[in-house]
Amino acid sequence: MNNEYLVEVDGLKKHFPIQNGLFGQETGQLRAVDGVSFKIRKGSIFGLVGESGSGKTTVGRTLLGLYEKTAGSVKFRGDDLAQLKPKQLKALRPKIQLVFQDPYSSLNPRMRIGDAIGEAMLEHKLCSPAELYSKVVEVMKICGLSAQHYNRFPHEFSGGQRQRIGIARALILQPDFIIADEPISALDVSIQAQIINLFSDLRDDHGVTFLFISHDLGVVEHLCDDVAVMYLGQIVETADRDTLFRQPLHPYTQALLAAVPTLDPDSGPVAMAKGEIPDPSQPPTGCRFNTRCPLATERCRVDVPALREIGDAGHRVSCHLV
Amino acid sequence: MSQPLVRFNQLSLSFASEQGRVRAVQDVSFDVMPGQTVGIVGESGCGKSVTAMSLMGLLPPQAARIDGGEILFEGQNLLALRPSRMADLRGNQLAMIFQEPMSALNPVLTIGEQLVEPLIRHLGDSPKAAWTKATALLSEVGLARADSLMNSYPHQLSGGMLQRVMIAMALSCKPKLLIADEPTTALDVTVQAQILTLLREQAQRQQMALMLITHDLGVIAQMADHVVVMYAGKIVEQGPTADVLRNPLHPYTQGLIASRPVPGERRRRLYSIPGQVPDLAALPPYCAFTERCARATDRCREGIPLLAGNTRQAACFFSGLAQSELTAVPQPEPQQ
Repeated sequence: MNNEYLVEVDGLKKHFPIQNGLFGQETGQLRAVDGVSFKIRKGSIFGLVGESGSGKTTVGRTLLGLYEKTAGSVKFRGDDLAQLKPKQLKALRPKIQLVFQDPYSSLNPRMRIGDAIGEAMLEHKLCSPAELYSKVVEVMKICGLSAQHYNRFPHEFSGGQRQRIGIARALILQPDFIIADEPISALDVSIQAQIINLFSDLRDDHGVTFLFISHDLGVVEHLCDDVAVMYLGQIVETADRDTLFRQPLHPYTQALLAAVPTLDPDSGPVAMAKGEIPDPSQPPTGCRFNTRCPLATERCRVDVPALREIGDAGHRVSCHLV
Repeated sequence: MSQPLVRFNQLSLSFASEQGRVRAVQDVSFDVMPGQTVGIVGESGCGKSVTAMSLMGLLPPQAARIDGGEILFEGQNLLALRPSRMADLRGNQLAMIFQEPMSALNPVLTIGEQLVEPLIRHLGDSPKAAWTKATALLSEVGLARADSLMNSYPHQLSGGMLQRVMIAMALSCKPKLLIADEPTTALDVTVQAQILTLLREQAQRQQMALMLITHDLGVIAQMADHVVVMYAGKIVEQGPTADVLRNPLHPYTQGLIASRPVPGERRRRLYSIPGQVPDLAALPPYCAFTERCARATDRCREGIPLLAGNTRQAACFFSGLAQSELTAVPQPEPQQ
């Protein structure tokens, strides 16, 4: 791993219109992603953590261009994606891949999985039909599937295997960057470990860079090199993994970490944050976390805290009390 | 030692399917003591939810068949009760909350209308008294503005609030046993901590036993006095939670623990249990974990190991549990 950045996101915003009434008038804006900046080092796994409604999935989809962004820029290998011509963008597509959360609905039930894995290779004309079989089998092996699975249909596989098929589809294009959106949360515990190990192998042996979107802090700590914590469309804290998990500074990060159940039988549930994530169409004034924060003061209800650098090593926090 | 509140005694049940009979639960025996929290852990398809449903009498009668055994609740066999008698117990002495609170509530009735129903049905309260009581219950489970919530519909509430409503409803008749089937799986981690805290407080306050079904060993560690580990329809290990987590005896329990990332400890690779859960319609005539087990030998293919031991039990030829020293482990007092 080095300090060269593969992906640089600056001031990314994605606002969805809220439509209401008989004629669907626009009555407001849902600021799903509201000014998010981060950089992903080449060959690293960047963890984006947050609860449902925090906007983490929207970040991933907007990065990929599945949603048109409202503002901000996304650079890939130094090139601003918005400045690229359609032809250049198409050439870039295979290099950026997405792995979905639900391995059940992301595969065509009538397509043999060998064909599903190879489909994009032909679409992008990256190999001839004659070469395809050996390429598919090779990538299936990396993902822990055997060649005899080639002609089977999705329903013949377990959840973990289907997720590996999804990863194989992404991997065959030899991407530089994979966006994995909650790739393991639909899987059983014993299967999750297989996928986590596969991701760390892909990083270590193939130099693949990941944006790993997850709500599971245990897995993020195990797998990721750098981490950003999102809350209501904004990053509230970001640092390298060791710093973030050893010295979490934002009360929300602290609450998230405290809430993760450990295997210590003497422990009990720790609920530091009150209530639930507020409606993102009407975020609280001041610090967005103030309604749930155990430490909130009057200032937190009024002033918006900026994401400031604390110490060195890129540890940034947005909290008045730090 | 007092009498168990619930005793599962050699329960076996199966479902009809196209592949033949699926043996979903086999020879399941465990006790729930009054006021005790028992955790049932296992992966999807291991039979943990079906076990709970059988206690509540909620299995589909066309497809499900009890093949043997009994479920004793305060000494009476629930499986032999008349449906009308079972309906009296359900929601009254026995209550249950589910993973998806949204789908467990009626979308066209207000929260209040649904909350007063068990109070009127089981306790014979007048509608007015029931309404007052239900409003107080909502406050007790930590919901603000209980008055206006009573007139709200389920879709107006968030997942965490709905789960609190479900808990209020389950607690309304002061049940002796609450079954919680993956109560926090659909919730965010900060809300999960709130709901678990609430369940723990309420169980203590009402001296209520809790049967907690989950796939998350972390939740078990935080909540349960006693843990039952299920695999492919059978109990593979059970015992006091602290003992099982610190010193798991069955290779499956060991695998489940080893496949969890440990905070602060970054091992290079996680252990992953190879292979996958066997098909319940085609279980082998030997230990169902054999194909995935690193310790399996020829002996494991010769027969099905029985659940051996006393306070600590494990179904493995290599658990060392046939010996008497392990059966002498004293049962610790339930955690407060």
